[in-house]
Amino acid sequence: MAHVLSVDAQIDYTTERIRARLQEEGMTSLQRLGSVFTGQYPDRMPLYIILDEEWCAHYIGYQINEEFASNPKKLAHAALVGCDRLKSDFCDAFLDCYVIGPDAMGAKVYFPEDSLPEIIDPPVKSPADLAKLRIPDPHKDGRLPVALELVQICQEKIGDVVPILASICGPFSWAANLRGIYDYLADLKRNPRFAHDLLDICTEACKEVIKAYLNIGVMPFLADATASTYLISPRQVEEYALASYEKLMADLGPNTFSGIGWSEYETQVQAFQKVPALRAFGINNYRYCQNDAGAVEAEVLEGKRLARQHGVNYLPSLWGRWVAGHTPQEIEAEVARVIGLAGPEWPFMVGLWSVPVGCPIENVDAYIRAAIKYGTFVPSAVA
Amino acid sequence: MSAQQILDQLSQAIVDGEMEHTGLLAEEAVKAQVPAEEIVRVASMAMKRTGQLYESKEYFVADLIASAEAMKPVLQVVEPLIAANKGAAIGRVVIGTVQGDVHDIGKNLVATVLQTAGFEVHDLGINVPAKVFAEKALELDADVVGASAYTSTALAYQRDILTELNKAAPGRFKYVVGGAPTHAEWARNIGADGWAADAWETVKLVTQLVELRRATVAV
Repeated sequence: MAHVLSVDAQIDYTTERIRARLQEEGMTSLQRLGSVFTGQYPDRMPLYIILDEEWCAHYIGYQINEEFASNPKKLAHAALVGCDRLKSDFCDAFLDCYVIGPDAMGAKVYFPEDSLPEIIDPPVKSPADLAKLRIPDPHKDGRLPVALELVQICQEKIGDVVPILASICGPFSWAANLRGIYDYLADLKRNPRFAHDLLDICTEACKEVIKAYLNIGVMPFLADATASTYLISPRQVEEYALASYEKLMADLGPNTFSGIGWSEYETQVQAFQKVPALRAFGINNYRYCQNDAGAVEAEVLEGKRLARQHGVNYLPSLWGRWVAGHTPQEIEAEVARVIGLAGPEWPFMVGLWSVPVGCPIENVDAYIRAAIKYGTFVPSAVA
Repeated sequence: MSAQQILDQLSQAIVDGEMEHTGLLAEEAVKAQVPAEEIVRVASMAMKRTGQLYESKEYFVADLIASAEAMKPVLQVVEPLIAANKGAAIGRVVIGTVQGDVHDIGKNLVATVLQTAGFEVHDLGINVPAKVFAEKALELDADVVGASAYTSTALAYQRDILTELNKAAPGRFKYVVGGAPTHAEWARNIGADGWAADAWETVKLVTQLVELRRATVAV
């Protein structure tokens, strides 16, 4: 689909639409989320929608290829459209974060048809390869400058009214992607010294990227899904991942990242017990079990229990892949059900996580309507 | 050390993921006149124990991988002996991660557990086009083809593989799918012969499908 306007004009047009909508609503997304976190009533339920990166690009007609993934303006256009069309209270400026860091350090990437890249050949085959690794310069190496410019554009256009969700790869996942996830997990027992040495290098690399984001006024979100008790033990989470976060915070200060993303509750609890600053992020569920209604109930109740136990907020989410495959009526019923299970102390919002390419817009709209209709807000629930 | 002590140590080393010891212990067992099939049986039980520890949440995926890696030296020692004794594999499996997808943890674990259980496994690797699954299945006269997918964009290729298999030889192969976003309903929808939640369920499923296939297909 050809765009009549230039990308710059598209970005400005979309920015105007976002600002006009927020002005009409009477509250910016920053104010809306800020009011919730300070125990006041927002004007409506905040919407927390995290899309698979390609969703917006496809929605507005971009072909996903190396050119698109290397064009910060097109990427920013896609991120802003997501925020505009879906009224999300976060702008998801999220460029294949698990790949882009290792890519800048020599990982060979492959672009599947009409999809963002994957690592096809991890560069670290043995301990001898560690000496060949170079800490990347986020302003020069690989596509890191693209990610930085993408976030900068979003921050400049709407950062004063909408929080920018800028994800970067966490150190453990970074190490795993440089080594190959299977081999890195094997190394944890096979050669722990090697695993630690690689993690140390990736922690330094992550630190440089964090500094670059902080310099443009955006606190990044660390995506570190590999460092989760879905894959590794709580002891390994502590020994590797949490130690790397502590190092980052020791070097850069406590306000270093806006949150950390893992899949499992156990890791989240472990993390904020060890790193109290992470308590503000609360307990989130990103699990993929929505196909099993009983498992969803168990998961939501467990999330609530842990949140109550530790005195933090709880944010349930629907799984985008489930939403993609069900009807608007089923989606509304599921939102109501999850909110019913999670309430009445929570939630103030139900997120929508990982909306895949091809998910019909009608389904996302159904989620939005239901989230606003059924979302409850209890000021006393705010930790 | 007695043969039984060697086997006990081998079993524990596999459960503990001690990759550096298992090959030597397998060689010791061979020297102690333990039949290769018995070594495989003990190793298989050890892998099953690992699976039970995973189910009870005492073990995690990294532990499963460590045990699977600890299995490989054992298989390297015993497979030539089994081949030399003309022991036939239970069945022949072609497995891979679909086109556009590079995730392989689950697929690697399934491949190792199937090998341990006595299957001849041909691992095509990652990012494998649908046609290649079919070509290899035909070339090897596979009993079962297994396709793993992790990403939602790659999932559709699991359907394409079945199309290619049926083009190559209608109804000749049994086809199973797996991967994080898959489930039994998905497998039924695309016409696959089965889906399993984990590596050990896969062994049971593949064993049943091999028996079914060999009963109905003239070899």
